[in-house]
Amino acid sequence: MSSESEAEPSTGGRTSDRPAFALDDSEADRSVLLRVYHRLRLPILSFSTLDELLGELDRRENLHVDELPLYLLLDLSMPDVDGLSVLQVLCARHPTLPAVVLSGSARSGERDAAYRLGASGVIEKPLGVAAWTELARGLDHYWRHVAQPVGRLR
Amino acid sequence: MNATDWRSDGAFLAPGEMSTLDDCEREALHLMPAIQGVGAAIVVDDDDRVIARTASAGDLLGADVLGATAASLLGAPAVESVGRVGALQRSGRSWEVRGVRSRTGPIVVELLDVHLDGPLPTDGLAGLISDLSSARSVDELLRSAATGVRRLLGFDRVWVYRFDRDDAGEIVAEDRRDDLESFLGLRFGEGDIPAQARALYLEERVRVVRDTAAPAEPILPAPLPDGRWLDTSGLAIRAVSPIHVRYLRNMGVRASASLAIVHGGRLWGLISGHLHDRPSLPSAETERVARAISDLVSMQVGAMERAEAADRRLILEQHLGRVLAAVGAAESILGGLTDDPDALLSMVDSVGVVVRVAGRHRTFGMVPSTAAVDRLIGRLDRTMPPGGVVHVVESIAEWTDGSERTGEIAGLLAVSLARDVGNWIVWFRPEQLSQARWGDRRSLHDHDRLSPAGSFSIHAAEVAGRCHPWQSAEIEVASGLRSALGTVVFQRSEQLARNVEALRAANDELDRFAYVAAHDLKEPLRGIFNYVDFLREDHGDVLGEAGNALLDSTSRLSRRMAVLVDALLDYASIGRTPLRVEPLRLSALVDEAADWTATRMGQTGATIEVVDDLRVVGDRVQLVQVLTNLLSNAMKYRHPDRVPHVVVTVGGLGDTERGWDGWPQHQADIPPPWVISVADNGIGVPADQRTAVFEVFRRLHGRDEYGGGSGAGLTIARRIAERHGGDLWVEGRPGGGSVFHLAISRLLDEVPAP
Repeated sequence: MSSESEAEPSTGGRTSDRPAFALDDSEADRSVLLRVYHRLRLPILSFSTLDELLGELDRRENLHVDELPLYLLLDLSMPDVDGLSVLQVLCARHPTLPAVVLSGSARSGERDAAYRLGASGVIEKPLGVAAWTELARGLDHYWRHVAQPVGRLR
Repeated sequence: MNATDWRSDGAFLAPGEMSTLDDCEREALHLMPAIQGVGAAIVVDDDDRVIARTASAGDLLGADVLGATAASLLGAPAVESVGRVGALQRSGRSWEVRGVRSRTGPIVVELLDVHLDGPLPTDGLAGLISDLSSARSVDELLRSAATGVRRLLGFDRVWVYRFDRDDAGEIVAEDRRDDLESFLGLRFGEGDIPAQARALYLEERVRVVRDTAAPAEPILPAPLPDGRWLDTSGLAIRAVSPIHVRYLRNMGVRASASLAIVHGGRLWGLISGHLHDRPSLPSAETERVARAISDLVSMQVGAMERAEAADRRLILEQHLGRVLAAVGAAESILGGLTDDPDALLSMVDSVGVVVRVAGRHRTFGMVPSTAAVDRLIGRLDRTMPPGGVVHVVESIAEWTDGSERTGEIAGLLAVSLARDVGNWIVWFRPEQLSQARWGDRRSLHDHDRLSPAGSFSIHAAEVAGRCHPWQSAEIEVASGLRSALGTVVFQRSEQLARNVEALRAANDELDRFAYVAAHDLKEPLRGIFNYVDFLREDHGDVLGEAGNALLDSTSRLSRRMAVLVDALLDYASIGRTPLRVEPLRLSALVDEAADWTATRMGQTGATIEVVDDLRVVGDRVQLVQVLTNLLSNAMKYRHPDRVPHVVVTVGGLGDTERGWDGWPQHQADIPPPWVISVADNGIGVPADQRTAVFEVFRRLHGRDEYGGGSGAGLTIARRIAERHGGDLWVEGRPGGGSVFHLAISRLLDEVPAP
């Protein structure tokens, strides 16, 4: 788990306390994510490697549903791993965890492939804190208040 | 017609039904029930009884020979005379007795008057053999044969004929009495010696017409009592065709002897001796010498023909070698083939040649008009049997049923260069009559309907429009060129395929590189942008106005770079994304593009007019991207005094300024592309900038003029057009504005969608 986590993960059973997870190897992208989520007082845990993320997911597997992440933000461009393979593994192992792909350049081929593998959304990373803030607010609102508590858009 | 089965070919006229030259081909020469009027014959059955005879046989052997046995008439059964030569004294003369088993069964015993024949001069025979053996060329051999045969056998004139592959003949050597007219060089049509007569020469190498003044002696009864016609083809004094007799008489010839020259199983030529004032009554011995001469000349001709063919072949192959060397050194097949036109013409002894490869052609020497060549090649394409490589035509007029006018050109030799239609080398030859040998068209005289003059005129009509026959060596060399080119083409196509593959791999690598590079550039770029925001948020108050201005500049430049990187990514991804082709309607594509530009259209009041609709096949997303770019440009680069108006039309390459120039796939068998033209009334693109506008990041105006942009939109649009097998280019529009032409291949619907 990243030391940059600035939000305390909720252990409560309410949807509003369940954290978002973010997997991104880019420190710059993680830092802007954490900054805007923190500013919005939205719980988030960020991970820089797949192993860290999987370890945390495994650790929480047998906990109450409220301990599980509400959704996952996933960067497909990671060193030494194929982002689409990561997505496939995550969707297979955690079928109830909505995975939203954050892409540096969400071109149509990559977008289509991600949706085919079970991504709940594909979003191009924006430029600037203001754009990130808007994105974070919208994403969190959707998964916390609009979408079903569990399950993934297919 | 060959030597073994010619008797069964076609229907012969019954003996006696002949009347005109046209009947020659159907004249049953071998069934004529008569002998020449210089002897007698009896026909004897298996019981040695005479079943038919000539009237002269009665004169020589007794009044009532019919029914008598040969033994009683000749002193021995007829069967004993077969294959032998006996002697008989009658009427104060010496007669030769020769028996022959006819093909129809009965034995025929001939009695030949040989009283005029004496021993041959031995020095003449030795001299002839020496001359024939030492001749160094076919021409010299035939001249020696003419001279030697005349001297040995005492003829007034000797002609040597040579027959073409199509059996037309020419007098190629002559020896004559000084007072006789020369006919050297005269040509005769293939009908002049009918096929069955030629076939008979293969069986009987020597044929003597002993006395044209003596009427033929019929063998009666005819047909024989069993109803069959007697086959007289083996008889020494078989009667000859009355047409031939009249022909000889018309020339003042009293007697003639013809010695066959046989080569390669066909009648190659004839040595024909004429006597004008007396009959020729050769003994069996003299005939045997004549046959030996026939055999010797035939053998010599065979050896020399083979040697000359080898020499000729060598020369042709040297020309072929020059052509192939040029092809090997040239960049293109067409360029190589036409680098040494003399060699190309000479390799098949032609006067003109057309080389046509992939829709381009070059001509050298004497050739028909371009339109005629087009039609001939079209006909070759249709006529050539599957797998055929060489096509030989010696009379284009006959081949095209007279529908083609080719001037002096009468024949062609064509080789196909590839499986695709329309790729040919076609060599041409002129009409043979236009050559020098035909300069002296003499008439042999007389108004008899079966005169030689009549025969000659028939021949002249036959050869009009024909070329000198293509020789087997020429056809083989042409075929050899084709095979060698096939190897060259194959090697080049292999090399080309490898180059294309390497180029494709390099392009893929470049695309991948551009994509990854651009993709990876964005991450630090976002970081810079975001950290500048952090800095401004966290420390803006201490940076002051100047510090914040620097941060703003950093943000602006970062954003600009992000736009450029996105454009690079777009460009690279065009090559990485497979085309998803589907049938599309142009008007629907324009509507979708208009949706993407709706905001700007609303701001500018722009209007779009789709004049022609069209069903195209292509990738919807990509084509909409092109049209969106063009609509967007029409509004961005609008004229300050005009409301943007875009007109979309459909046409062909011929409707554009560029036309077919530069269209790489302009070939007869590839359909021309669709051309969608998008015309605007904006500020236009200066003529000298119409290439530059398609270069990536190339801008004709200041960065922030006309709404900015990446400067890659048209580059991407052109790349999309190229991926659709087409092109995108801009031309000026009368009255101001630009016309962008988007060409799309019509063959995309044959490409399965990925």
